[in-house]
Amino acid sequence: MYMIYKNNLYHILDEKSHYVIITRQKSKTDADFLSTKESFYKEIPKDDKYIQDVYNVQFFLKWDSQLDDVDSMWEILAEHEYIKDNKVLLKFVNGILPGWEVEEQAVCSKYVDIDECEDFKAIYTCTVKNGKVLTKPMVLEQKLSKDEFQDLVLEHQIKNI
Amino acid sequence: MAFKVTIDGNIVLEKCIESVSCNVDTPSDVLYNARTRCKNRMTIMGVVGTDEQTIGLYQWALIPSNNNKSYKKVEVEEINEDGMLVRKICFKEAFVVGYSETFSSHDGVGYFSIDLNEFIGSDIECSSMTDVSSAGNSSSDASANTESDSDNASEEKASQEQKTASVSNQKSNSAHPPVFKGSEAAKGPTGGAKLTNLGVSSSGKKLEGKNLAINEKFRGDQFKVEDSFDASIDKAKHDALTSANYRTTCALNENLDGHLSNNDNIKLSDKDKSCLNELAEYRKNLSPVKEDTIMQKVIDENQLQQYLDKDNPRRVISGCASKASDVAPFTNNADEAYKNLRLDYNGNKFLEKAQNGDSMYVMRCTSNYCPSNSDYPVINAYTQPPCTGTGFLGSESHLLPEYTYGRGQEITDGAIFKVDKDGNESLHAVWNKIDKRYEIVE
Repeated sequence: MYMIYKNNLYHILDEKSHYVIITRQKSKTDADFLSTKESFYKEIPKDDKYIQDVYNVQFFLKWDSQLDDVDSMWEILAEHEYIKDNKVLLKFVNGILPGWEVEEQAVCSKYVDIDECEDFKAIYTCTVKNGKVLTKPMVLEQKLSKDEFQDLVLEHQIKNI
Repeated sequence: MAFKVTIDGNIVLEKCIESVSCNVDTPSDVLYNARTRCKNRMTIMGVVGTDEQTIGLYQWALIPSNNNKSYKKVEVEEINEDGMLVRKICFKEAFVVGYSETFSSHDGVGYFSIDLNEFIGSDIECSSMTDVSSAGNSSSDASANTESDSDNASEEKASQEQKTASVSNQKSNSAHPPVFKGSEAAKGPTGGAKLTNLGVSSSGKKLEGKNLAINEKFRGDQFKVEDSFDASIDKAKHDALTSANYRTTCALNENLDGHLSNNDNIKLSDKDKSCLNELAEYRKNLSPVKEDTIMQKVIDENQLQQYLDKDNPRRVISGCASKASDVAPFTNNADEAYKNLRLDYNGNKFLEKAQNGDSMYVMRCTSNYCPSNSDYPVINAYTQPPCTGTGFLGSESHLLPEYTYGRGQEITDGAIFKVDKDGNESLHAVWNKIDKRYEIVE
């Protein structure tokens, strides 16, 4: 889960009575933050007035494998290995496609040039939007250019949060 | 020493036989199922090109499993120089799990090797004209029947016979060139391992404080056989369902090279199909995975390093996993995990560990994502064996439900344990909720 708080992006832990906001960037902290060796964190009440958005996000793009019965829409995670040197990692999780790298049982992957991909988009599932707690999660789809897509995925990688 | 192998009365082999080995594999040391679910295996090796019907073995191996003729009665007699029967072993419903022939222009001789399993639940007869009976009498005819029996005395007798046989009883006439045998390749040097959490880190330090608490929450030996899904199935059904599930995929190690690109060659009998329908009902009604359900996944060294990476840690559980309560009792070491979780897929990094008795890493964790009872790998054009598509791993002995986490779902808590060949478990890493990664326990 992610949170926009005072215009900064954080990871959050939802601890029921409160949130814990987490970042690895010192520039996003103030004097109230505590730290581990790698991260900075702070507890905030759930009704903190500076909470702007709370959401989960999924990234998708289109790439045609030219194989029968293989969906052309691919989900890209914000894990670090997914975007590297203008290439994007596609993971197929319903079997082993010919020529693809076997990762584990029924999971294989392949790096493709991001220029071969199209229809970049992000799908947000928001529980708080513009400071307003939503009674039902709101799903928003955002179409993106290739560069916006890469930036957004990288922005949500743990080392950049 | 001479052998006589008779298969369904039609094929009689004597001169060509070089060695016979029999093995009784009990699935666990749990009293109530150690004998009744044991697997009986036999490997017969010999020479091709004598005037005997060795071609009949090859033809038998080619019969599809849905054909009743794939099950045959096999009698092996071992006779000493005095003409006395040293051992007679009879598999009443044997089926072929592996067959190979090797020919060499170097020595001009061909060799065959056939691996047989007995249908679980069928009788095995074992008798001798030379042995002292297991009860200590000097009877000239000691015999045993390995199928469970309500008679305590005969059970005890059979039990002793089986324990004797559990040390692989190989007799050989001559040296045999190495022949790849799928079912044997994963047979590790360990046996009878029992998962035991030592309460220490993998560096040997006694656990305290937070690490001790995490260890207690995720330790493997808290999960007992009797609480697993496998044990919840009535024994009478268990073996039939397990066998049918096992027949939905390839034999252990059969597809290490990935030559089976799908399950199209699997043909099931009506009996198997009926069992699978029943299994599908069980699958639908499994207790749900919840946010606090501890899931288990055996991970390789590469995945371990990704989870421990400080800058770019892997934060998700992906691919297939099972409830720890369902699989921990049946993954006491790398060898057991390899066989029962069917880690023998093409490209796996576990074969060597299983064979060498190396330690393995086991992740147990929770996630806010809760896969449903329909979230498991399904058969499609790209599904390679040993994937079953039934929602149960292709274990030969147990019914182990599996779930898929796809590309990955965020971990909320967890621990990674190191488990050695004897089942000794130590804490290697714990999930840090703030840093969102596993950190090594010193």
